[in-house]
Order: sequence, then C-alpha cells, then structure tokens
Amino acid sequence: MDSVQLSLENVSVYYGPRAVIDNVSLSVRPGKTTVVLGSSGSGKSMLLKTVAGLVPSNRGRVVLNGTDIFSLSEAEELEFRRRSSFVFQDDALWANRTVAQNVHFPLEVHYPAMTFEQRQEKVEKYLERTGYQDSLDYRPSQISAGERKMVSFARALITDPDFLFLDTPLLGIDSTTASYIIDTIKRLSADGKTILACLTDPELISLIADELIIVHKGSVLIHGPFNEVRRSEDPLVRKILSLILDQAAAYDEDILSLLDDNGGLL
Amino acid sequence: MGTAVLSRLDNLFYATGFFYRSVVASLQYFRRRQVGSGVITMQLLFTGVEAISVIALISISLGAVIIIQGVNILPQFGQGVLIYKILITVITRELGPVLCAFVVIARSATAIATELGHMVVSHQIEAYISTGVNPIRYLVAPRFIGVTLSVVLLNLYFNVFGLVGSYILTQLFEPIPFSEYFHNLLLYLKTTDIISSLLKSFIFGLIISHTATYNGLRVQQSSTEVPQMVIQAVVQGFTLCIIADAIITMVYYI
Repeated sequence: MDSVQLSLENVSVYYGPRAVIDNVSLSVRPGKTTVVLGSSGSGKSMLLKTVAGLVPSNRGRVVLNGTDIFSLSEAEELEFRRRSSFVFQDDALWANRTVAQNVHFPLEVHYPAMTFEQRQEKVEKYLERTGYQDSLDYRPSQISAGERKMVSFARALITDPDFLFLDTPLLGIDSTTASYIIDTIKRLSADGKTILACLTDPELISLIADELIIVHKGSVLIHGPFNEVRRSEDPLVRKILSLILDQAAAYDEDILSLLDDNGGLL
Repeated sequence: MGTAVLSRLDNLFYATGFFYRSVVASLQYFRRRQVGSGVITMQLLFTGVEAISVIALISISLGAVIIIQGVNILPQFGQGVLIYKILITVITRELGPVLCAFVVIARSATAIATELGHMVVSHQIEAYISTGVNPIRYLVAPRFIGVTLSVVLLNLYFNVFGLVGSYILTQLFEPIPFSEYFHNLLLYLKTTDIISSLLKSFIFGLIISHTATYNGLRVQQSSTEVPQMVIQAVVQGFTLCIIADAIITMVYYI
C-alpha cells in the first residue's frame, strides 16, 4: 500500500428512513488537507466516519486504493488502520483505561514486536511533550476536556499515521489547548499528511485547507480547491461559508473579504 | 403489522449472525494473537469468582432446607431414602444450573450490557475500530468465553456447596451419619445427571453472554437506550434460559 487513497462512490447512509449521507461521491487527495464545512447536523461527522470505514454505508462503496473498504483482508485492514487515525469530536477515550494506557494501546495493536517497556517509554516521551507527564495514571473522567482532547490527539498520532481524520478538534476546549492543537494540525499539514477534517476556525481553515467540501443535509454541495470553493457564486454555499465563519448577517457580504489575502485572516 | 413482523425477523437474523460471529471469534480466541488477553481473566474474576459467595449462600440454604424437610416428612411415608433422589434432582439437575444462570444474569449480564451500551454512546467502540481492533474479537469473545465458563464453574460450586455444605449445616439440626449420607448420595447420582447439569449450564452461559453482548451493542446513539437494552438483555436471558431448561429436561426423559 503506497499511499492511502480513499473515495466514496454514490454512498448513502440511512438512520431509519432518513438519509444522513445522501448519494455522495468524492475522492480525498493524498498529501493534501481537505476541510469539510457545513452547518450543525448537516452530516459532517457522519461523512468523516463513512470515509474512514467506521460506519457501513447502506448504498454505494467506500473505496480504499481500488478495493471496497469492507472487503479488505484482515492484514490490509490492519495496515490501513495503522496508517490512519481518527480524532473524535467527543474524544472517545477508553474509559476503563488510564491516560497512558489509552495512548499505549495503538502501539500494542500495531507494533506487537515492541516490548512493553519500549512502548511505555515512547508513550511517556510523547505525553511529556504535551505537558501531561503527571497525569498518566488518571482515568479520562478525572482530567479536563482540554486534556482529554490532547490525549486523544496523542493516541491518534502515536503510530505516526499518514492519513488523519479530525472531527471538530477545537470544540469546547480552552485557548491554551486550542493553540497547541492548532500548532499540531499546522505541523501535520506542512508535513504532507493527508488530512480530512471538520473545522470551524476560519484562520486555521484559510491556513491549511487545500480543498473544501461543503455539506448540506447529507449531500455534498461543492467540493474543490479552496480558492475555487470560496469564490463560488452559489448562494447556499456562500450562506454556509458565512454562517460557519460566524458572520450571521453576511449573506450578501463578500465572503472573499473574510478569507482573502487582503482580508486580514491570511 | 407486516412491518413489525419483518422488523422482528430482521432482528432475529441479525442476532443469529451476531451469535455465529461471536462463537467463531470465541473458538479462534486462543489461536490468534490477542491484544489485551487480560479481558478474559477479568471477566472470569468478576462473573465467576466474585459470585461464589452468593452462590454458596443460596446453595447451602437450599440444600439444608431440602434435607431438613426431607428427613422430617419422607420417613412418615416410609420413603426416607428418597431424600437423596430429591437432592440430586433439585440441586444438580434443575435448580443448580437455573439459579446460577439467574445470579449471572442479575450480576454480569446487566453489567456487560451497560458497559457495552455506554461504550457505543461515547464512541469508544468506533475508537477501537479506528485503531484496527475488531470489537467482536476484542470485546465480545472474551465476555462470551468468560461468562460461559463462569456459569459452568458456578454450577459445579453450587453442587459442591448444595450437596456437601448443606450436609454440614444440617448436622446442627438433624444429624445424619456421614457415611450413610455420602454413600446414598453417590448411589443415586448418575453420570447422566452430571452431564445434564453441565450441558444446561453451558447452554445457559451461551444464552446469557449472547443476550448481554448483543443488546449492549444494539444501543445506537442515546444513553437513554442503555437501560432499555439492559432490560432486554435480562428479560431475554431469563426467558431463553427457562425455555432451554424445559427442552433439555424433556429430552432427558424421552
């Protein structure tokens, strides 16, 4: 498996009779950062989970390097999981494991040849860089939301994945943690990792996004290079862009001014 | 009505498929490279070892009641020796497996369904999948093995406490000669009684582990679904165990 190439082919996901992902086709460009935008409940998180193969589709195919992701051999799937990581919106840390054990576990799964001590040393060094060397034996419920987010990042990055799924990583965290996470995402993007992310921070989006996907009611309204999408004349696209950028009254405001080189954010 | 029937059939097919995958994963459990092999030890400890005191209390009390009632009533009809047959029928063949199953449903099936349900709601299951861990192999199989093995072992303990422990307790009220009691007990205890008892507890173990894990993982989005699925696990566990008990007992006498 050279590079991780993921695409959706006419994928639909249903919750009962309701389509939460509705006939979506798209490809994620390897080595690029693709940002998914959409209003709350539009299906962004579900789109990420569908692309990651965490949620089975009711129709269509999720294709990884030419093969249906649900038809991969066990070894192929394990390899894909080693090379990809998912940061969940609500952290999804394993409640019955300590902070150290949460970060330790992916190494146990993907690097069984490493000794326990080697894994432990790697985890401790990694967490030390984030400033959490004193909280290693705490359970996720004993640490703050910001700390949990950082631990979930550490868990996702400990195996040095090529492909990252980031589901609203800045949601509900303090400014210090947000600053650390923003720096981490910038570094990962600069390193050429493939990133598919739901983000709401306009500055971060304008800095790292190579491509934008706008989602509305489970459908992809537009998907293309960042500059192309931000110049879209589609009124719904412009409305969603302005809403996400927290400009509620900016329906007719020039969205370019918010993201443009001369607009102050770049 | 048609939709309801189709929905029930759909659930039944899904549950059957889930059971099949759980059995396959459990059979492969010891052959495969496993992460977190401690899960099965913890399950055995919680379901098997920690339930021993409850099982001992129930079985000793039940055995003592049968002996005391039997030695007082049966000789009046000239059937004093029937006490051993009754003890084996009640303790070994019938109530042993059933009461052990009920204790495990009350303690462990509820705990397993709750734990798995909360893991679904907080996306911990998805986190396992994204890490490359198959939830059936990692979460279901060890619970399947642990619960099944525990029910069988608890049944053995139940028999030991019920047949031996109750004898010791009875000595305080109705002394029976040691040699007479155990000689007659072994005389009436047949291999088929032991096989029937172990078969029942094995099947009850499969039922309990299946209903607990299946219903726990049926939770979809909301934490309010968790207690609903726990109730389903308990009701289905009780019902299926009683039905299986009736079928095995009927087959025994055919």
